[in-house]
Amino acid sequence: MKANVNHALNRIWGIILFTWGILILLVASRFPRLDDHHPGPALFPAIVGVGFLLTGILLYLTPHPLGSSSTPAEKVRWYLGAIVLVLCLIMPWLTSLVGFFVPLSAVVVVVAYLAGLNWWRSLLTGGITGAVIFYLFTQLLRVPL
Amino acid sequence: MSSLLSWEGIMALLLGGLYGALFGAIPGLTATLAVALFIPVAFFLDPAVALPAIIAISTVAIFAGDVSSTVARIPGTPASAAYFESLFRLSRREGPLYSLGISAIGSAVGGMIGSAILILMAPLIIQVARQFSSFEYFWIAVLGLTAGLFASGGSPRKALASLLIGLFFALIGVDPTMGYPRFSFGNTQLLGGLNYIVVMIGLFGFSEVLSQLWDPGQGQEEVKTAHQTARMFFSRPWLLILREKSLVLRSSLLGVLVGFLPGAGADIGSWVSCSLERIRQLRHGREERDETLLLAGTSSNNAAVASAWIPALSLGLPGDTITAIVLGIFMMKGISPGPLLFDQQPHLIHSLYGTFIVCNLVLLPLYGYLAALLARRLLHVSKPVLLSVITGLCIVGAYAINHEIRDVWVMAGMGLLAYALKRGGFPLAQIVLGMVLGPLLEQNFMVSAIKARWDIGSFFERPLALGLMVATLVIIGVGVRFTRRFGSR
Repeated sequence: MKANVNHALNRIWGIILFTWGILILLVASRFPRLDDHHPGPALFPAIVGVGFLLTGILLYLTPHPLGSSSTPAEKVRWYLGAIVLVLCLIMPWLTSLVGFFVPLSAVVVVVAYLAGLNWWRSLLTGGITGAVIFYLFTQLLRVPL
Repeated sequence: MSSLLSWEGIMALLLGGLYGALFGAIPGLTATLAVALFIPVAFFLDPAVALPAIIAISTVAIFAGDVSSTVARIPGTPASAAYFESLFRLSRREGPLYSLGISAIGSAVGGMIGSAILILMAPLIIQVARQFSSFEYFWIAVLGLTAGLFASGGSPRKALASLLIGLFFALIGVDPTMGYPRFSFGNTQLLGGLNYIVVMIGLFGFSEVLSQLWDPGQGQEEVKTAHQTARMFFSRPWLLILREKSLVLRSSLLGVLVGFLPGAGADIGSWVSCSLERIRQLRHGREERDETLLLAGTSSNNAAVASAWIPALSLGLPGDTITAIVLGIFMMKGISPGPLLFDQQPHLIHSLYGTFIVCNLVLLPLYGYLAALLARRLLHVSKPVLLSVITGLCIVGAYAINHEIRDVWVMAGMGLLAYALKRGGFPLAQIVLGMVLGPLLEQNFMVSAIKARWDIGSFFERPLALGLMVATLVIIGVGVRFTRRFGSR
């Protein structure tokens, strides 16, 4: 059963890589040439694109699963990571409003809570972690944030 | 040498090593950044004190990147990406003192070999370096990428896919030949390309956070905590090194050979060493041994740190980014690198030699042991706290490099990509290798092709280039043969 799942995954990845190769070749075909006879900026993208095409075909045609793929847990709570990703996406807007420290601590609090701490421990952990990291970078290491 | 033994010299070494350890252990902070931030301090110091401090920073920081591999599965440098999975597995199986002991002692031995070659053979080696042109650099990059196919122990086809992904990321930005923007789609922020440190943080650090949130039961290895004594850090790694003398010597020499090439860096040596060791294990039909893979990578890594100084001191050409900064300090202080430096400033040269010896003999074991004790504590921190700290460091580490909030998006996107790739069984380290070697490969190919008026035969005419090509083909042939025979993990 696991072997069939891995084989199906390889085929899906084969299609993805093949498609990605086609897209790269399409975009690279519009790049200018060095002169009439020689390639320019398009050369290496074309090589990489062809590489993706061939690798995609190889993966698709492989009769047995390669390497070890991981099978998903019985019930994946997708919203957990999605929340963290959304917070990272809106960080620029939050940073422009309240500076870097508050959004940083907020993300850390959310991760601590989603990972299993209760709400007040998450607040404590996130607050302290955010403060320590911020202090470490800005005061001790003199890396401006 | 007397300045090294003065109070200022000793403090420079100890504080420089501590500063380097802190920078190296935190994901997102690098040895190069540590040295760059040290420049304002270096300006006011005597060169005989400033330069040893820089050597201490870089030597310890390169090793300290292994701490984040042990605790958080995030490699500290592209070079350590070649063996970080072995380090992580070993730290879980045998405890962090043993794994970081191998890393520290292996780094010290590799660093001593590199230092010995720097001291004894610098003028001779520089004659070899002078023979390297763009053709040889092209083949060095091909060799490094080829080594990446077999270094991970998984499927070479999936490793190839990961390499291609890394090569694609390296294409984003302005092309080296005509300055034409590629894959930026009109976005001016992408003209500078993707920063490989941000990509590394996302691929390894942030993806681990997502993995733990989405698959909380996966990868929960029990950490060995019993019998974590100083003997595990000092004696057992030494016994391993004595058993694997030829491996350490071979890996260190590889690190030196690549490290002294200006601009090539330690990454290639580490990957080739790990790849050769893995092929050797396959050839003997052995199960993968994390100890020897780790030893191959770390000894090569730190051997390259010393050898990167050879072209910097002898020719004024930086061996890596750190020596590029050092050459800037030389200029600030009115020191001219080159053959005359050895005659006109012998005390400075002797001070540098002494520093390399002290750093490898004293600082690495000392800070390595302290780092291992710290890592042992950190491994018992609860998962939610560790994940929240990793998240915070990932975000700040990604932002701090360029002060671009877009890098936080790149980091998050890479984390998502890495999660999907891990589920598909693709290795991640090869992505970083492709990003780092892609520009070297393309630039040297285009320069060579234009120089030779597109006569492709010229890539095979020079003896050194031909030798590197043969080495590449041998690695491919042997790697494919033994992977087919023994399969992948």
